[in-house]
Amino acid sequence: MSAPSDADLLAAHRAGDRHAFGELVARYRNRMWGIAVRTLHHPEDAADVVQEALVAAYRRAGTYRGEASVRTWLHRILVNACIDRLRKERRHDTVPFPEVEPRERRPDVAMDVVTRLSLVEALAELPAHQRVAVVLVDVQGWPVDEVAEVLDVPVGTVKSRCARGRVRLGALLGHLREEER
Amino acid sequence: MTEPNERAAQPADLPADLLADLDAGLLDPARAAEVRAAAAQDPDASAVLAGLATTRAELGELADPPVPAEYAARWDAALAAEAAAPLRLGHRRRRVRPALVAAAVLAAAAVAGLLWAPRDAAPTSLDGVDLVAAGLAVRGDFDVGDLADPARRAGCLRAVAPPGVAPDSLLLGGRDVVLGGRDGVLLLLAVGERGHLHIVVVAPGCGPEGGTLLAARTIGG
Repeated sequence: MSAPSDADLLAAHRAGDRHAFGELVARYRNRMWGIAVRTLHHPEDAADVVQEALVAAYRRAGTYRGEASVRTWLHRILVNACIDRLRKERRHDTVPFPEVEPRERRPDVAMDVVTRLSLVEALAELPAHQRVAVVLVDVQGWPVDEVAEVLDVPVGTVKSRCARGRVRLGALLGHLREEER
Repeated sequence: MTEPNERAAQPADLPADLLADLDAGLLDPARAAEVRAAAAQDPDASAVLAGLATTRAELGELADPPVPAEYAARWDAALAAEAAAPLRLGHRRRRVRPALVAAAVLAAAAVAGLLWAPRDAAPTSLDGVDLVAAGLAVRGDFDVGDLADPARRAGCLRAVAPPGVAPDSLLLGGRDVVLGGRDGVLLLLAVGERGHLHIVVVAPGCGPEGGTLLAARTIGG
């Protein structure tokens, strides 16, 4: 028997199935965490925002009308929570998130550490809207049109935010250099 | 704000922003072809495009960090509290992050994957599993046998429950368990105060006539 779809699980949750929402959350919470922590650059804030988003989704399940996919709907809640948090706190004195990716599999360990730490820090330098777009498109690999749906902006706006963000990141990371003029 | 080195990276006639627009697919086909052809003749512009590609590639390799267990437990507890909230409160629910959450965090390592795990009919062994985690996991299940009868359950609790557990506490969930090699029935009970729950494990057969208390824990107390 095939696994229930996201929409099936949400419908089951609305119908009173006590485990359906948990199954739905299990599908997405790792990715939601990834988006939140890359966007907010602060683990505690990211954990708070994921929690807010999950609870909000739990409460708002009855308002889901199916215009967007459940994945899009869920991540829209998360991203809005992230943007709200960035606007409220404008946190610049963040604690860099410690990288815990398995680097031992990579041959260039030392360079990898340097590159990735600076990449995470560089991401934190982007304006909120650019950062969210870059995280969703370039880090998470989402299609641009779905990101546009999540952010409720035109596709061109997502591309533009990504383009501006990549230029800034490229400069911060040293990939766009003076001598390339 | 624009960084000096960011601006410095732009060739005079093919600015980095224009090249980034090309790279992002923002230009219409005719303009894209024009810019692409011009960039192919300009080593600096080609280097900018290569730099953008490198930036995208590095971003794409940035894997999601694993969810720390304490955060996963916190989220599970918040959802469990959310599910229980309508039973305890008669007014609008609000975000819960009190002692209930803190207690659940203590169970983090054992909780991951347990709270929302599919149920089976066999009693759940609690050996090696934190009682708080197990208690939260049964929320919404009411496989408690005779103790589903409120009068019998109240009689049981009156007979064996520790002080502070009212006999008429609201049952939020329960199921058959095995604790320390002994069969039992786990009851998750609402105290009536936000963030406070009781977990009581009694031996089967508990009722007004008496019974055996196997374990008890208060969450958020």
